[in-house]
Amino acid sequence: MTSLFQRNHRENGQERDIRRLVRRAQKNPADFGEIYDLFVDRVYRFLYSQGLSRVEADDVAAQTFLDALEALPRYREQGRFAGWLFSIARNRTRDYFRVRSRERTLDQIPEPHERPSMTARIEQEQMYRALGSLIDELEPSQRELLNLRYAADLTFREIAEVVEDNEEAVKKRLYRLLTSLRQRFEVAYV
Amino acid sequence: MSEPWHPAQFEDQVQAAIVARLPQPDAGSVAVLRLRLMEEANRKLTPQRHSSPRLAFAMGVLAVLIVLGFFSTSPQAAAAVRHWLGFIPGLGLINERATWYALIEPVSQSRSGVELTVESASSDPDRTVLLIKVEGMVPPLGAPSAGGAQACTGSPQLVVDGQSLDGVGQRQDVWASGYSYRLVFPPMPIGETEAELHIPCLVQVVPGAWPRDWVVPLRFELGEGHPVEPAYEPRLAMERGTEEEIQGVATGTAAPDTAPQTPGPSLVKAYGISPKLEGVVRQPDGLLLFGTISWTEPSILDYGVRPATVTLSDASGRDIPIEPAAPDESPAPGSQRTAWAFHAMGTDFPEPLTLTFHSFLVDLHAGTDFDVELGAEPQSGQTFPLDRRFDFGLFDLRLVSAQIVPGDSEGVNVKLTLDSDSGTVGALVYDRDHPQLGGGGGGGVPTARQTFTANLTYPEGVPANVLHLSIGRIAVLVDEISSITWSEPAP
Repeated sequence: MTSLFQRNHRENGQERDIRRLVRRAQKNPADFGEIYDLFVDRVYRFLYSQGLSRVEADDVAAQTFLDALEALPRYREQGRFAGWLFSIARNRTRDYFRVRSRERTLDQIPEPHERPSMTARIEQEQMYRALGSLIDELEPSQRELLNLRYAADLTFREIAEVVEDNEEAVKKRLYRLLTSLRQRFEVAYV
Repeated sequence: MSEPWHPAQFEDQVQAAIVARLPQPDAGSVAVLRLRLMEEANRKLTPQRHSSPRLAFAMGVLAVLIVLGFFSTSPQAAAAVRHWLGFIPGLGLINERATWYALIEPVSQSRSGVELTVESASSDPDRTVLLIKVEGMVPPLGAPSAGGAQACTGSPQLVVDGQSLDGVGQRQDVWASGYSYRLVFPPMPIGETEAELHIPCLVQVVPGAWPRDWVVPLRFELGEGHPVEPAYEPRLAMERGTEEEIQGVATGTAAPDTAPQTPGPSLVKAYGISPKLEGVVRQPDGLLLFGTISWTEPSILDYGVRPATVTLSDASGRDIPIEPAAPDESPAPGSQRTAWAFHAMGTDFPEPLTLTFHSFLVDLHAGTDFDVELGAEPQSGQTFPLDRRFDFGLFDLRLVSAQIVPGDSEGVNVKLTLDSDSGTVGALVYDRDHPQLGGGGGGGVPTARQTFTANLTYPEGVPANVLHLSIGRIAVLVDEISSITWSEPAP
């Protein structure tokens, strides 16, 4: 779980590190490996959250990172690198669905192989399921917002770059969405 | 679940609920993708060229030479040509002054219809070079295929007395039923005459597709007695010479003699472009001339200076036919150098010979974004007059028009027509938002004031409304003469 403080700290500190890494990789593509290590889990989480199976996520992750490597010399530090990278992941996911001519929703996400809390923490499991059901009922753009924030672990500024909106609007949309979700959750389950 | 949630707590629970539904990525897939990216990254360290008709002609022979990506160049390899005196076809330059070793005889292994032969090899104090032939299979062209999670991704190694030497360079020639390639390793330890060549995979293929994990024992002997063609080391060519040094050269040295063909400041001087003759090999049917071009201008991209038009003439002024040949070295990225080689046909020339670079193609970083409005329903055959100018300092580019045309085999092209009054002869244009088949590189005949085109091929049709495009780099023609004279040193 990432606290607000941790998020702010990451924004300030890690972004500088990322920029250094990116500059290095722009000069020497072999250094792209460090960028990959930093983002690969988050990219996969985002792809899974979009409804891709493991095999599909492997494909799209490969396309995403290969695209990023190819385009890295053209990347300019006008925004956050994560925003740029996840824009590629998002476009690649859309391309994938377009090519396959199919749409999937969150309830079609394959069951994860491991669920650590499945047996031990029944109550938490039930709550997650309940929340999951409510999330599944959201509009695709609302689900995407949640996934970018919580699956991909992006900052508001990075999300704004991905969805091509301004940071403040993204923040308002998310908090409005959380408020609505919480109200519905409390009515139904508390 | 009886207490209402605090907003922050609820946010944490939403995040936990989302993450709990997602599997962890498979560690194997993550590792394989990393390897694939590293190979692709290394491939990027090798020379990148974009084509134009004249350049394609000039570099035609090099087109079949594929520099594979899983090696990096090293200063050791680059320095290897500094002391050579001999030349062995296929292996390249040899430092005959020092003790050197040659493979005693070719070694072959046959597995599953594929025959691998180490045809020849040499090891001198600068490097070890192996010439390998593979019959019965042809490697895929272009980027290596990942071949799934178990794809073979290892690089060849030379194992000498338990010590593994990593490859520092590789070049490949492909033909219909097989291919050959040249592996370059660091020098073998002095006195060692036995080694094992380990090749994990001939090409990156799925398991079972082709035999893997080749181990080839190699035996060397002292190189004395092995046929070596004479090669000549120009006295000035090895280090970047000052202008004064260049002025003072005489027969047997390299001498760039730069003069702009058009009035105005010399771009060759401004960019610090300096062609150098680094070696000459006398062969039964002619001469091999090796060299480099270096530059000082930082905005020139890696491998970004290439000879556009080159001629060779003898002392009487008669033109000697030349064709491009494979350079013996691969300068490292960032070294601001490219390598060239030409094969001169014929042996009986009155010396000195003069190699003249009439013009250079130079790749410059552009980094300019622009939009093209295509309307809500772009249709094949539509043309959009644009007449937009881009200024890149000394060079400019005009985007004349965009036209929607069917692709050759698939997809739809947006064909951009471009021209320039200042010597821009090519441009790499790409779409920042939409996937395209291949690059959007365009280039014309490397002659100033020509119109040329750049195609963007969209596999799923041309996107509607606004295209967000970028000009990544431009190729410009530097139309100035530099010449190098050479004659064989007296014995």
